[in-house]
Amino acid sequence: MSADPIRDKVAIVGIGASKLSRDGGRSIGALACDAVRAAIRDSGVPREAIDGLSGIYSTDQPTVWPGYVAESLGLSNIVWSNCATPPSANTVSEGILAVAAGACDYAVCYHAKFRWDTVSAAARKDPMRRAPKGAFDPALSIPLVESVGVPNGMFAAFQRHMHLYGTRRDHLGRIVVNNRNWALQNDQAVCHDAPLTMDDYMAAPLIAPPLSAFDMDMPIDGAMAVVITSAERAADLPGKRVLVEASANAIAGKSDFFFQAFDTYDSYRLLIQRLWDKTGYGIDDMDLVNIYDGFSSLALEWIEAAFDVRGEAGRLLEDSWDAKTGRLLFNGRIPMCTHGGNLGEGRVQGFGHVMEAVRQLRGDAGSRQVAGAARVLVTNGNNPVNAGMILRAG
Amino acid sequence: MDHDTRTYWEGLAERKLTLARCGDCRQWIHPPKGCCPACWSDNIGHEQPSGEATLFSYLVQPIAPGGAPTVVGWAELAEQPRLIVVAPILDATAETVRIGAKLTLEWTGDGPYFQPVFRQEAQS
Ligand SMILES: [Zn+2]
Repeated sequence: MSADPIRDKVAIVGIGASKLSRDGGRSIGALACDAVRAAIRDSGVPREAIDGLSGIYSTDQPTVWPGYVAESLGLSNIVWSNCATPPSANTVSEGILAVAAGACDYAVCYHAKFRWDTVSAAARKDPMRRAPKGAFDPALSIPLVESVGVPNGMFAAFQRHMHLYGTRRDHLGRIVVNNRNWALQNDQAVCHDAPLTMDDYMAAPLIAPPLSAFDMDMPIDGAMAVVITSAERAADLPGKRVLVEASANAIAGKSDFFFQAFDTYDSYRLLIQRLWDKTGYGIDDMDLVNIYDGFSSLALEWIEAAFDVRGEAGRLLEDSWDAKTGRLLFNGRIPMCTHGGNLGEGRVQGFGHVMEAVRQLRGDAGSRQVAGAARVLVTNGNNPVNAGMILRAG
Repeated sequence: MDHDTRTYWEGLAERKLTLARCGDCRQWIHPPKGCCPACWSDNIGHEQPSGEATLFSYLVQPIAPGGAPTVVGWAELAEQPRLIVVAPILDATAETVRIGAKLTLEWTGDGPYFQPVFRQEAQS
């Protein structure tokens, strides 16, 4: 065992999800509780032993805080609770830290997403989808761009990437089609029955050029959760444990969503390097990369950071593309987002990337199983809200 | 509007781009902050940049119901690398907008706060 307080000492011992769908017919609170109950049942930990609870709270849309979940599920022994910023891997990494520090013994970490009326015209017609009023402006800069429609700096960042490096829309297409093809093999995915070819992708109308609706994650009703405990306690539980090698998040200076979205790569790179430094691994030690795909353009820069190829994602995606299967295989061996990602499975802001890592490392991924999967890289989010981790089979 | 952005808004009411600038190390700061990110000085003043800029990037703004798409620019001011004002690029389209184009500052709107806008100089 290493001196690192996390490596090999913390385990994920349960996973659970609500139904993922365009309309779950349940409140966001009920969805969160569906996921938390399922994860606790999966772990075999008795309800009374659960003493840590961490959710994702707020950002652009309302979420559910730990007090609601504790009250709704009769969890009355919580001695550590927390609200983390999105993306989803952040609530998981908070639970990892809490268990490593001894703040609690069994932490449940969850996130719930909902197709609020802020998402689409269709959702606005549904009285069950009215978002509670609330403001979210952590960079304090929204008033300065309201008169021009609060334009998304992440889209401008990708325009700049195309300008500097010659990146093209068909490069994004390889990411999208890869994830959508994997989603066809995932019964839970909202795009399970919706094949998408490269021709379909290239013909799609552009919403924010060069991005189409296919480049943006699928808004859904859905929640996911994991149970975390020490590696020692995990050995006494019935299921197969998955161990944490390292987790991190990173901010590298300029990060204002609306004015300075251009240095996202620097934060990704800082995070990835931290994971390599903590473990001694490199990308070739990974058997699967669950790269965050809230927008396909974010995935493209995560790929650059993970494979250390700044400005060359286009070439790497071309070299890694198998046109026959419509999938990516990096370095001839490493698949990406076997669950379908946010683009194919649905938008729980990266939680699916953690869940799929656990399934693959337990050998529970069914027709998607990566033979001999021993280590998985998970990345989540953008700058400055991001998280990443390396998980391994226990 | 808050304590840090009040002077910026007051400038917009007079069709003047008025940006925060550190009184000690002379760093321009936008969006405005309460202290200087470079030297941590609290001595934040305000000055007017020349209005000369280069197009750093842009977004063809998603089409509003009934409205034409507009090109929103990230204008990098001549005064300092990555000193960026986000504003519409007048008369530009998805076909004519060019990253790296020289920009000049103009004003639109009916007040009380006027809208800074930029126009691409003709390609020479
Ligand atoms: Zn200064």
